[in-house]
Amino acid sequence: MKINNKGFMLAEVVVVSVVIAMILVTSFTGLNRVSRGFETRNNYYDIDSEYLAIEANNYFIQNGKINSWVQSGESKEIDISNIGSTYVDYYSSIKGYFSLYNDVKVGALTGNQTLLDYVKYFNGHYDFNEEYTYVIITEMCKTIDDCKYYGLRVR
Amino acid sequence: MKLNRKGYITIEVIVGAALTAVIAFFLIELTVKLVNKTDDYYADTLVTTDKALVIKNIKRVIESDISSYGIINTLSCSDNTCSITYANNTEKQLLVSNKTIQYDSYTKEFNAGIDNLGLTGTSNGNYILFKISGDNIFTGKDYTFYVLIFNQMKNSTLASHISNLYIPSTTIRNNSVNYDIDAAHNLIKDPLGNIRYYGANPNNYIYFNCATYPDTNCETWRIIGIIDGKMKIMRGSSIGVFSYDTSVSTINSGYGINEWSQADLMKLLNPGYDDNKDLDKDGNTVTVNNGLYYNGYRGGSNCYNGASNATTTCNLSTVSIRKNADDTKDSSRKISEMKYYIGAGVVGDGDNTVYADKSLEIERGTTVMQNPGDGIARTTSWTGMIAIPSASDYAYAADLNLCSNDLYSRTTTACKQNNWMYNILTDSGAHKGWLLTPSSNYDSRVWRVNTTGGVGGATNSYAYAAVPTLYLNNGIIIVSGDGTADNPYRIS
Repeated sequence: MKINNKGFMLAEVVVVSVVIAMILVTSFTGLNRVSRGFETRNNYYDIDSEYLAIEANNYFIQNGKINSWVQSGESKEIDISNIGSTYVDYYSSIKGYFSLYNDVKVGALTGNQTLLDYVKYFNGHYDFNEEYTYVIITEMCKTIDDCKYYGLRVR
Repeated sequence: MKLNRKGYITIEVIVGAALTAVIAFFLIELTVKLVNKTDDYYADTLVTTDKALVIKNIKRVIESDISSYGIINTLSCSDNTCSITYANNTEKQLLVSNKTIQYDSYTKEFNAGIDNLGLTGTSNGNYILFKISGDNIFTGKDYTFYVLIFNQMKNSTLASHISNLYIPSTTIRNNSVNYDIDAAHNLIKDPLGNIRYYGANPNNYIYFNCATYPDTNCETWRIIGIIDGKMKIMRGSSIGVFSYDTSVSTINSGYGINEWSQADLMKLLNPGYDDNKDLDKDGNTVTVNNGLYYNGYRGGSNCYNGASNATTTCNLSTVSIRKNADDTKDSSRKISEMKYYIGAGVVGDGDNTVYADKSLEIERGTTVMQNPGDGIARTTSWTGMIAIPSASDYAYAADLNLCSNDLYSRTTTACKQNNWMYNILTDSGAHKGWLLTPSSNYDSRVWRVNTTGGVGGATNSYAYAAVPTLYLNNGIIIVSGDGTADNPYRIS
């Protein structure tokens, strides 16, 4: 058997290296994207925020607030301090928001940048043709840019 | 074959080695990051699964216990153990140990990758929050589970809450009838299975007729009990003194007719009589007893308060049922139309045989006044919105351990002091108070509570204290409160 012992030219080594480097960079970027997606989903479908939203919804139903909010159609922050105060030792800020279930109304919600990011995500990921009446969004922040959310859609 | 070169020049070796090193570095970094991330995600996924299960199940079992035992009265946490005491004094523990969380029969073992588990609990009154924390033993990442508990009888109606509170602790005997009582909650079960509050001052306070529910500008009412499956309540004070019924002097000598379904007091309290017109004592047609209590806030009118259609001006605007288009402000929609039993019987006038059980038997019986002079047929039940307490309501409101007397003889201090309804029905002894039950031997007499505490018959046309009594709709739930005078039940 003949041995090819000529070796590689420098150009060959460089080309192969560049190709490998591109693959690595692409993989690294992809992994980071997956990682960010994982974190985003963790923050936007947070279990604690979900239960807080459920309790808030129950509270406002029991106190007869929902009907009037639905009638007014106003997208707004709602006072959930009576529930949120239990988290005072663990979160710096607990807030709730009410909106009718359509992209324009949800998009009309105002708050800090993390809320606006969440609203953008919400509007991009939910089907507004589904027959929900309103959404209660809960926000649980440890710092101004470390917040968890859940959007509870209610028929 | 001829080689084109014999080897690499130094610079080529350096460049090649550098490129190889860079590639190797990135490969290792990528591999390590990939492995770490995969481990983290795997652990996170397991923890997230555990988290969802733990939160859901702990919440479920504790809220179920709140429905069964009442709200959590005290919560004390230390050393990863939270001791919980419910309203009926049932005690349970939520604890974390050996990577396991446990509450009553519920146990959940955490994933092996979690360590340093901790448990704390806080309360702001209406809500309880348990915090379960742990570390990822590989990455050191902190995990926290928050279990938020609504510390009220959610998904539990007020009626079912009272029913659940009742845990009989002893049996007492009165007039040869055994009663199972819950002495801790002052609840007694009558022979028909109705659960009633008894004693000097049971925790049966409830806000009703609020300007806005659950607790803005409310009246304090009292819960009589769960009667025929519904919550029966009465106002905490009378709305004034009125005739049960009166009539022109040619009918029953002007003393009225003891048939609730057409009684003047019934028309004062209920809907459907907005334009009620009748004769006054001078024979003039006047608007009188025209549903002022139910319709509310319509200003003054005339009310009957004596024999032969004697009237007085009356204004119930400050005490009447609040009506509003807004559910949160409308009390009338919380009232259930219900059957009230008005079987007739003899009481007083020498009849000392009517004990609590007998009064209930009379109300539910078929005995009525026969051949009344007024020609009005008597009935044994009436279906409507608002009435006044029946004889059995008063009878069972007494602590039968301390007041075992028949109704006519309930004139002792012990009987008056150990019956929470006495002061309400008699305006604290200032007036006699009406009961719903009619007399079976007089066509113009109805049972009443005397200022002495005894029950006897009284002429319909007298002006006695009237205390509105009604049944709440079954769907009404408790928002907060524990029924004490300082913290009455608040309803939605």
